[in-house]
Amino acid sequence: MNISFNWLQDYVKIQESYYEIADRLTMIGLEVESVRSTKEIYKDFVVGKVCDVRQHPNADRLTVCEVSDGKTKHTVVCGARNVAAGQKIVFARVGSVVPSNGMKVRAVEIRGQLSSGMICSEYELDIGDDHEGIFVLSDDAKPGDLFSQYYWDDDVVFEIGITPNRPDCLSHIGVARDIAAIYKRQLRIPEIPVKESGKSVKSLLSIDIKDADHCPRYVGRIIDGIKIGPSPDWMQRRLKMIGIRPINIVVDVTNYVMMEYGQPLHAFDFNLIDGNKIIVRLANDGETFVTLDEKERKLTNNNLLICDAKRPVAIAGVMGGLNSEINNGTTSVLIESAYFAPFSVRRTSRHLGLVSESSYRFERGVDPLQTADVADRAVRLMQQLTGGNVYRGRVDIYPNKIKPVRVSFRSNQVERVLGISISAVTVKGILKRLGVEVKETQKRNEWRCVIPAYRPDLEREIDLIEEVVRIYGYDKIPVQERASIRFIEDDVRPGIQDRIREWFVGAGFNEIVCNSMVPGNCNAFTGRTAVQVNNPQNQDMTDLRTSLIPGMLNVVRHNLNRGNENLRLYEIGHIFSRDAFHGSTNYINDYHEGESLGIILTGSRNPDDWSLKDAEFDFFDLKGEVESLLGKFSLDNIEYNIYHSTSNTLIDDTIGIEYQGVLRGYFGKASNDVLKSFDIENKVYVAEMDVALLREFFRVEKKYNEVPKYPPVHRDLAFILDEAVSYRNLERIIRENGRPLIQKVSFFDVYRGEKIGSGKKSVAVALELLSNEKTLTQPEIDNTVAQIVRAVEQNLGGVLRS
Amino acid sequence: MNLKSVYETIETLKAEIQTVSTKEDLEQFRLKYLVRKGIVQQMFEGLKTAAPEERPLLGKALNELRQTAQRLFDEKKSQLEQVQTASKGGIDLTIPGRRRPIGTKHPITQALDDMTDIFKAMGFAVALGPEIEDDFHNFEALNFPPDHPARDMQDTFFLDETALLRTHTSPVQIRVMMNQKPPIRHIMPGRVYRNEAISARSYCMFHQLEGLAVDENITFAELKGTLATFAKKFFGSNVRYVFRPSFFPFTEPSAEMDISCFLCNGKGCRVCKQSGWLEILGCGMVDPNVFKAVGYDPEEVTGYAFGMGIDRTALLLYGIDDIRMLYENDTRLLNQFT
Ligand SMILES: [Zn+2]
Repeated sequence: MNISFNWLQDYVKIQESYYEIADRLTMIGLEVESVRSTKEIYKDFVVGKVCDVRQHPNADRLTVCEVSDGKTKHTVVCGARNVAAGQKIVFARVGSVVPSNGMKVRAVEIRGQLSSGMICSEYELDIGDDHEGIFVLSDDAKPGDLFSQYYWDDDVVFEIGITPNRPDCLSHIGVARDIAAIYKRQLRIPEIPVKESGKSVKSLLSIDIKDADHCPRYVGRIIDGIKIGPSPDWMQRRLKMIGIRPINIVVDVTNYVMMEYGQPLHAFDFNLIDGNKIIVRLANDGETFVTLDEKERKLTNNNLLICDAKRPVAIAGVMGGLNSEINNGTTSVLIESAYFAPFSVRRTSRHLGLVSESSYRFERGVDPLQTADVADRAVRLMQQLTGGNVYRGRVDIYPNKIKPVRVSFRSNQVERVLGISISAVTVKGILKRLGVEVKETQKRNEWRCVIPAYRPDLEREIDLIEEVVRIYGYDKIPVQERASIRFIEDDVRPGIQDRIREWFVGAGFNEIVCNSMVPGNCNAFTGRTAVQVNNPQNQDMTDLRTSLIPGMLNVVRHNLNRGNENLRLYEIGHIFSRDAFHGSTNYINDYHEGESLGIILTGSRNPDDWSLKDAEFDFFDLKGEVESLLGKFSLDNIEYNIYHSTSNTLIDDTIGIEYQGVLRGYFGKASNDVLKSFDIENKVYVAEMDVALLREFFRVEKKYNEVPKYPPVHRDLAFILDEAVSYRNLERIIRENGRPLIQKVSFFDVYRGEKIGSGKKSVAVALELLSNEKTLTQPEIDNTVAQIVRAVEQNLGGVLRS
Repeated sequence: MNLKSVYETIETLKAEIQTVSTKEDLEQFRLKYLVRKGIVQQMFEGLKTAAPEERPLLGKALNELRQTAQRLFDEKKSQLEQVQTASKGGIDLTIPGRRRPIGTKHPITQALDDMTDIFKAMGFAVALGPEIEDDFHNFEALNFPPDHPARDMQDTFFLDETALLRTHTSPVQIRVMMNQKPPIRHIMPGRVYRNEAISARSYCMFHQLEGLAVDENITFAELKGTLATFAKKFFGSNVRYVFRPSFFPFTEPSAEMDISCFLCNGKGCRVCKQSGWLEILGCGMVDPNVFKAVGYDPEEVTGYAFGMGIDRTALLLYGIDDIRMLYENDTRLLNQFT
């Protein structure tokens, strides 16, 4: 909301500087987001006089002018046709910045003629659209006077961010009212004596409200015999100052009064209103209507229309119609001042995607008690400015009177909420200055407050407490840097996410954070049904991610394109699906949401370790990371299964991470098709698992197992096996048959070659044998080893390599 | 001491360095000549007692002595190092070590962790919630009535009639309060979504940290004290702050907290738009309607809530110009946050 500092002073006396006022407004919740002073904007613009005009020697369309700025003369090359000697004009000195386009005026040579300064057009001054001709001032303008002073009266405009609870401040009087409350000054509302003549308006106009829920009040007044023309300069300047384009006297008055009172008005050409009748009714489903902006609008039976005897003439509170618009031939005007229900205007405005100054105010709530006064103010101004006749009386349809809100207020509650005691006198004073009527009751410290109609936000005691402290000053509330707290029961130890992150930091990974909204094709690989966004911002954000991996692959590509080829990445984030998945929770409707952990490896294993320089990541690096991570969370009972899922096509040969027979994650090398669709040519290894799996074990009590008293014995064995025998099978057989001494089986080598023969491999393992009861003897060791060798022979056809 | 003895010493030096063959010998050489109480310095001391007319020449010679001693030492040192390298089987000990990569947490996580630690120390626990929410948790229970313009304050991504991507972490407040009785003292970090055009200043999602305390006797004064303490710990003890009235449907009274710009120390700069202040969080006393929605009696308890954006604060803190860079995850950026 733009508020003019000069305009404000019509309603409240202000001795303070504008920046002090800006600061105070901010400190009472009317945040002044920017301050623009005409003195600043037009710093180097002065009233000038064109002393001489002559033809430019080298250009037909240009003239060379001598301009006096009151002190010195400047030579200016000018392209405008309307320039003439003797004119008073606005002169921009060299160095000034043109408000409309931010260009700096420089001394330049134009076709061999030096030009130092500029004669401005309305467009350049940002006060109108005309950029052909220069802006000619009236003859009383004094050369040398600052344009800011001459034209704007050195005004300042505040841009105030009005919060949705304060519709009363969407007007100059509203802001002035708060200023009056802070400084304990009188608010001056304009007096509105209307000179009425001729017929009674009731004989000319009937108003019929069909739906009083949507339209509680509707006032009409008629002014006749007016001539459409521009509004006076002072009104145009005020409107321009707050960013409203002047149109004609009638439209300007309605805008002016809206910016004064916050009450939107609509002006109809009364001669275009059929049957002298206004009917306020809901639209029929599918009914269409052409608004002022020449767009056809399709309506529903939730949208309120203003109609004449035959047809709609406006969409209530949102926008008028083309068919009854004020035009140059208008002589008779019907002024509408109404109170439309906030919900009604809001629904219509949202349905049409159309927000106007009018709908913005109605949906926040205008003052239902000033409806008639504002109509009077508007016709009064039109009468003053155009000399028309205002018909006697007004039509005011107000079926159900809106009763003032009453709130009981216990003054001790101020301290309970704020932690500071404010005297009853002060509290009462503040409330009264804000227009709240305060009445004593039987009970001590309990008052009955009557809320003014322009404050729809004040409904409860707490709202009044807020009002009191807003004016009293938030800075006066003490800063209590201590709290007496009852201890909460919740666990405050670090969450699982922190533990996981610590592990990855130690392991040299970069954490990444990706958008949860992805294009639809990103979810095609995962086989899960994606949750779709109803109103996506663009085609790249239509779905919620069903897996972290596609988003992470985008990050891989981004980095590869920038030459970052060696990547170890992890992400912890939510994934979503229409189907339940492991670790998911169903909070809302049929949406399932869970936390996932994604891991990516690509490029060199370790670029900063020169002994490994050329070692590219391979599958076993990834598997090792997964195993170590799960090891950290004491997850030893994990099964890694080769599985070919038909739904998840991210990976060609997927290894599933299974716990107790349930698939909780997967890893492997991303498939070429997937990489191709992400424009990635490098090999990328990916893993994903649900965080819930790790969390399940996170709280397991930690317990000490006695460290073995007797030394372990190590034996290395190598078996020649068929290629088809998996290492996992070998390890299983060794473990089963090495009991009870076997503690650990470690893989350390696989060898293929001529010595072994084709279709065969030699697998070497290291065994650790241990007893908790005694030091092992040689026969005991040999016995166990022999048992293992025999079992491998019998079960797997393996031969011990000697 | 005279000129002759200086030149003799130079000759002695040259002879002596020839006999140096180990690091230990070289150390002896250094101790003999080059330390503060070594021969070279002692001879310099003699300059004071020399006859004035001798001093210029003597001084020149002494400087030559010192430079020679240092040069001989340096030459021998590097010579010995090379010998040593060769002697240990050709290992060049100056080659860098085999380094492991250094892992990082994302800048947003780091900022969040720092904030979380401060609040934990003040007795807050962490609560988390879903990112898909419904109208009830995200708006209605937080006192955003249907058809109220306050809803326009947060551009929402909808999934269907009632489901949406949460626009703030405040629905977690509702979930916490519906699950347990006061006292409540929780912070709620998490990801939130707003349907705002993506630019250097704003992204379609960001991270928030909210706090909620509900108990008997909680006042606005305690809210101010809590946040002032946080601001001092997080932004530095010199930080100045101001609370000014604002509006949020779920708090009444509501406030914005501004802190003095830590980039320009409040003098005014591009980042704070010359104001000297930065808006960092919104806060207020929990609105009685919120208590009613979760079944608390507003006559029995009061509470405060606050919320701040992590991403923007992280940008300011780390001097990153463009919020999109946080989500591009260029490792050259990430690796700066070790
Ligand atoms: Zn600054």
